Amino acid sequence: MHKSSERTEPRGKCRRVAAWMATVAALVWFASTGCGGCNIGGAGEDFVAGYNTDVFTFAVSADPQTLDPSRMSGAPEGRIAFNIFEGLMAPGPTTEGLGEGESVVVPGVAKDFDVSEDGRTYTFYLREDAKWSNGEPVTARDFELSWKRVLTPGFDGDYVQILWVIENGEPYSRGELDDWNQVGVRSIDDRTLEVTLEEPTPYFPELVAFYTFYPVPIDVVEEHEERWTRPENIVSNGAYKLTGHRPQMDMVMEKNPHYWDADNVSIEKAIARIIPDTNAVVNAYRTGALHYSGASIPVAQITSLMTHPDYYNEPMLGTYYLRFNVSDDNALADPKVRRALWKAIDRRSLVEDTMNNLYDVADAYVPPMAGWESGAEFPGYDPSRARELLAEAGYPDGEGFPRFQYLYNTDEDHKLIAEAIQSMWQRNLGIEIRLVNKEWRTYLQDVSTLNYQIARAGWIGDYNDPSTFLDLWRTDNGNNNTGWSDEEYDELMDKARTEPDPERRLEYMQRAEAILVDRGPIVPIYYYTNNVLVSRFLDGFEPHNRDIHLLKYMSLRDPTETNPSGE
Amino acid sequence: MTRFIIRRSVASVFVVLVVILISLWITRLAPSNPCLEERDVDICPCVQNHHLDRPVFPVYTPLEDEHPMKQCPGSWEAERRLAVFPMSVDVPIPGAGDGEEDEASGIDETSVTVGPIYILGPGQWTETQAATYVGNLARGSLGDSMVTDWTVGETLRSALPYTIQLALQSLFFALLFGIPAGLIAGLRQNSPTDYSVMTVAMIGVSIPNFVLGPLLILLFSLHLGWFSATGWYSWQDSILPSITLGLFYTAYVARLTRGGVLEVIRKDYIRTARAKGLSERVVVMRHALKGALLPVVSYLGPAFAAMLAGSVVVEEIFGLPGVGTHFIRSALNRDYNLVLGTIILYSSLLVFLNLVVDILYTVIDPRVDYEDG
Repeated sequence: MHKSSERTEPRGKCRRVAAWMATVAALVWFASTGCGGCNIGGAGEDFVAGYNTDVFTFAVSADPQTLDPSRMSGAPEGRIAFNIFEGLMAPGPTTEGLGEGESVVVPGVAKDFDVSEDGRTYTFYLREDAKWSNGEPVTARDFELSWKRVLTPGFDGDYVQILWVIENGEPYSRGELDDWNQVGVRSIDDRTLEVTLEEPTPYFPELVAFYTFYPVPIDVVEEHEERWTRPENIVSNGAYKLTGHRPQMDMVMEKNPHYWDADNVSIEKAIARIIPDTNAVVNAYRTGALHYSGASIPVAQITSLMTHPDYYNEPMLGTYYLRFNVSDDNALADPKVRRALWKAIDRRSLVEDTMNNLYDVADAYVPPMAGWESGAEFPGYDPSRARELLAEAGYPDGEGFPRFQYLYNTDEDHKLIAEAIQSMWQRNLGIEIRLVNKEWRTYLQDVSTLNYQIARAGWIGDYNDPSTFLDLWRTDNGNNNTGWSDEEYDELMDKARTEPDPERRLEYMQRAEAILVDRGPIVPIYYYTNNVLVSRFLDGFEPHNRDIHLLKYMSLRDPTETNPSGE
Repeated sequence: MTRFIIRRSVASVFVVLVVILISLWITRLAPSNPCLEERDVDICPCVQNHHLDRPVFPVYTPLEDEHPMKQCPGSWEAERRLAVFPMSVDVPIPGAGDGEEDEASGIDETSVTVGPIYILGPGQWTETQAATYVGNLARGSLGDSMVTDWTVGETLRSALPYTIQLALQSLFFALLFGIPAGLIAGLRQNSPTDYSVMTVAMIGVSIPNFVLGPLLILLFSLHLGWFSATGWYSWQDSILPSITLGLFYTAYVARLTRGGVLEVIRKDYIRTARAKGLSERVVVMRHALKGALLPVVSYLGPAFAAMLAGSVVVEEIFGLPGVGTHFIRSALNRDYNLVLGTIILYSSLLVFLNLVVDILYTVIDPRVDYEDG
């Protein structure tokens, strides 16, 4: 051992130890207290969205599976597709507060359209100046070929079935019909597209604003095959074009100079950052890396931000509900038992206490939308009636009631709901259930193979029409996944499908919903809302119940021009 | 030496091949599949594109009839009437064999029935998923991702530079702080300095990176605003992840260095150096350090390999676009090809780096000789 250093050690050592302790103390203090006046560049509670980036930046929750609009499904993919492509119609800026004659969609590639008397034939008139990002015109033929591609038998697309509204679309897609000329899509000339539908479909204009109906550049698709959506190959017809994509990192969109409405597009460039973890999204937002958080943020992370000026809550066209598997011969197959379970759930408490009032208590199954009024008599929270019903079904005070499993996919919010319901049923009915959480893919498989007893579920509408919710519970619907089948219900939905009169059509669906509420395999809990963070300096961001926010409607104000804390 | 390298290389290829086959088997055992979507979609194009309706190995248990992958028209089995030898095997459960009935179920559970097990005729062996995969691999292709539009090769190529840079920086960080800390502690053995340095090192070894990472984000990103909280857009963004990944190794290097110093400092040649009247500085820096660092040098290889593979958690915490992030996402997505590609990448790196380390040992320490072993 080295003697001299030992001798000279003591004083220096003491100082060093003191320095260490001071550092540790400082770390502990920082970690335990709030920021306490160390506000640097906006970090802390007073943060300004996006102060750390000079390009409009938002988050998407996953790497897109594909950027081919004909094949995609899912929110992250849609967020890009809605901006880089455009259909015959385009999603409007908002779905709320629409006046008479206003629609959720606005003219896109088509400047106008006619509907035939029977509601089955639509004629779209395309605008002259609609162009692809390489300057070529977008023609009616492009639409016909793109739709033909989707309907080709064996096409690997997630939303193929949505095109079955077109006459003979289904048999062609299934390979039962070879003659494309019998399918109801006809390009009369470069600027005119005539579409004949299987049934009158009042929401068809909204459908053609959806990405599965978007045109794709067939030449480019054939040349590059599955690589056609790469930034170096892609040709699109929307307000933006894709100029960069790095897996698990980001996508870059830049203004498309050939877009017909390019003069009114304010944001020149946008970056979509791929951030799967909502905690990380909130952190990125707080540190000024984002202008818009993208996907909805769970209760645990958004609650502390609800008073922040950037907090934004918009209603969603979606319902959170429980589904019962009625295909097994057990207690759940008895409508009385299901009604007892329903009446023993205090939805108001679930939303207000458990979910911090972030969502809207469901008072029907179909969420509110323009032009729809629910006709169902909705059973409320009534524990004593619930006990009676359970006794009538043969389980007085829950005696002998099987211990069912409640399946949910691993997620904080679903867990909170599940635990609350578990204790409500225990308290009100004296029954025990077992909570089972599984990760997403396993959950999907279990639900789709009916390998569950009670499961949480959610459904987000594809368009603003009750049929997107009510079609689910038809016997043959692939999303039914409960084994529930009701002849009267199917009959009403069939009538609604073929009914040309819109009033009567809605009436059939109201009656169908009443049946579903009366004896269906579900318990609606709440209507989804979107809880996001969006910069208060972003203009043109309006509530949209399908969470479609086109960049072309938005513009970014310079935060330094106004007083950031002025709001 | 050459013989040793050849022998080891051949063995390495076998190791990786076994890893691939086991991984193939395990990925398919996980419930669910890559074609499933939230909404009801026709999974058949996806299933058939990726041959998921075929057996993985020539010996297999068929899917149940109601399995979604068996519902496709023209599925592999339906088209082929195979030379199959169905049989069931009772596999005894070890430790459950005293014949007593399970009270809850009332079933005598001393064995589980596996099967029926089918064995393909040799003519069909090349059509199994494993054969197709290994065949593609032999042609140098890792296949397409089953979930995204990218090939596995492209995906990993875009991710690998981040992972390698992260590991290198962490290694650099570990050496930069670990060696001086160990040196100081070793030179002042049993002094308060030694104890405090070693206490900090002990803490460094003990704190898991999934605790350290969020703490660093909380302090340096959210409270101080010095670094971004997620993503990798500039060199600065990699500082916190490097510290998070490197701290364990820093602490370990410090302990190794300290041990090395303690061993060397008592050696005769150090006493000689001191006796020559060399200054303490020269003795430590020129003579003692060289010997003291030997264990650290031999630790570099395994440490680097462990960092490459161990960055999974750190990449996930900091949202970095590296291999680890793809590993996690692909496993969650059941993207079999990407999972396998990642596993192959990791295992090849580990095997290769271990080989390099073994070779380097002979360079560092001439006493090591593999020829006779």
